[in-house]
Amino acid sequence: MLRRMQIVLLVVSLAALACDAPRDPEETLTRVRRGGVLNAGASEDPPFLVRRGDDAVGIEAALIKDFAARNGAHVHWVWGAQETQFRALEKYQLDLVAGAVSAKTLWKKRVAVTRPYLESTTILACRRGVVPPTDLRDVEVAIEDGDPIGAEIEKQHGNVKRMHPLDVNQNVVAGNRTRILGLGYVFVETLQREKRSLATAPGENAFLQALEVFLAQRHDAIANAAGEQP
Amino acid sequence: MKARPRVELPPDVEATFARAMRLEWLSLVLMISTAVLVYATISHSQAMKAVFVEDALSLIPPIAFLITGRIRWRTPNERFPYGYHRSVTIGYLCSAVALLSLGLLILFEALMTLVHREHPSIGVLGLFGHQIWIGWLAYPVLLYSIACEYTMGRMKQPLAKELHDKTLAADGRMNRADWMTGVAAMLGMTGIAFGWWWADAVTAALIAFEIVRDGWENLKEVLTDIMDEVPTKADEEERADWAAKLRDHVRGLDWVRDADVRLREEGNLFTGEVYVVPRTLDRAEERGAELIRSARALDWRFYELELVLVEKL
Repeated sequence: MLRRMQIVLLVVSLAALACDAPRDPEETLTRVRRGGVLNAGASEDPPFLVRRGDDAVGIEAALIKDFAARNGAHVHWVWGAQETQFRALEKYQLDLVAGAVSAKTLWKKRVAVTRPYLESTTILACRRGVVPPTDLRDVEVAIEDGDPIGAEIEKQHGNVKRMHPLDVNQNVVAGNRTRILGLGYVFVETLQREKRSLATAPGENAFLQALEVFLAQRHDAIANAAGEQP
Repeated sequence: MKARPRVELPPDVEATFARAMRLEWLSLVLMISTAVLVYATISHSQAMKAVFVEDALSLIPPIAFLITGRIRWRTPNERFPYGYHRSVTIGYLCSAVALLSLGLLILFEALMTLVHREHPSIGVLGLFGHQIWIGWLAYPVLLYSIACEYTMGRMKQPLAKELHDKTLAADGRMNRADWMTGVAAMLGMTGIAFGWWWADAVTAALIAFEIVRDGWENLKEVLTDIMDEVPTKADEEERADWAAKLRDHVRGLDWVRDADVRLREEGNLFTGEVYVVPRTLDRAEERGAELIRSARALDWRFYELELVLVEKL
């Protein structure tokens, strides 16, 4: 009888301990909730994350603000070079890094990366009224200067026209679906897919769990807002 | 060239061997299933990675046993006049080297994790519409792994002893190390859940140390076999007095003045020379053949003993 009591006590106390597990070794989640501030490293990635003064707008910005609000905090945006931000994140100087963070980022081994919250696509599109090309050979395709999709177009023997910013007066364009359709172009075909994630400090598992559960709940809403398949 | 005769096993040993083959097939299937499940829950945990590597490695001994099980009893021929029994040693060598090298690798990684103070990140997995922390999923997976390893280890041990099979014995020992590893990994995962980031790497280091020790022991054993060490026991509980048993038996024969033996192991079998100082050379061929037959009756492991008549020992 006494033994059974002991086992019950052990199980109950373990369960009680497990209630707020997993815990953060550096207590990120507790600090965000108590202090009311979430420090997010950000770099511009229109239309997902766009700087407005010290504030940020866009699908990803709204998502992070929502997550902070749910934990009784507001977002303190830290703008700068992403490499520096990742280094700061690794040493717990930031709580989160956002801005075109790929699920396959090379920082994956040094910081925590969430499951992808959105699969965004890079598409080929054309101006309304223009006949969509069936083959890219010798077709002039306009892209945003520095967009890696240029390589794919070159591989298909298209002529890449790099410009900044990408305007609405091109015949054939390629770029992020959400952005290209936002400029009024008509979808032709999908060229590439990229899984987007957010990065958090390494080993802060309570914070990571809270963020990933939140992202899972918003999964369909985010896809809709971005005009992508859920 | 005169090849050795085919190995004739007593029916009960034959039956035990068939049972061991079936057990190793089952073991192979179970180990693959645990390795797959553990892989799905590794996340960034060093301890889970160590468990996965150990589970994946524990596929080698059953595979080695199953492959050599088909080769080892083949009839000796012109090309391999001494038969195929040494294939067992090759299988054993492979698993020992794999254990040792991968153990060292995990040990190094775990220590580096501690030195760099890297915190293991473990995220969430969607399962049947629920979002579950992967750390919690590791528990049932590890429990399943522990149950499989424990049962397999317990079942292989007596068979290894009966068959005098060191691959099978090493396999059983590896299963034992594996289930202990599973328990350690559960403790490591509990540590992570409580926010003790170091618990994971410490556990991984302990597991790796166990793998290295296991690999080292097996490697020593197989190297001494290759060096033609005198027959040693395959299992801790087995008796290793075959040489004395055979010598006493030969000395007891009426035409033998004095005798001694020189034995080595070949897989499950023992072979070597029997040196006899005869009292008489009368009917020597007949008596010699009778001696070898009676030795085989003494223990089925004695195979192709050579009778050497000498003047003195």
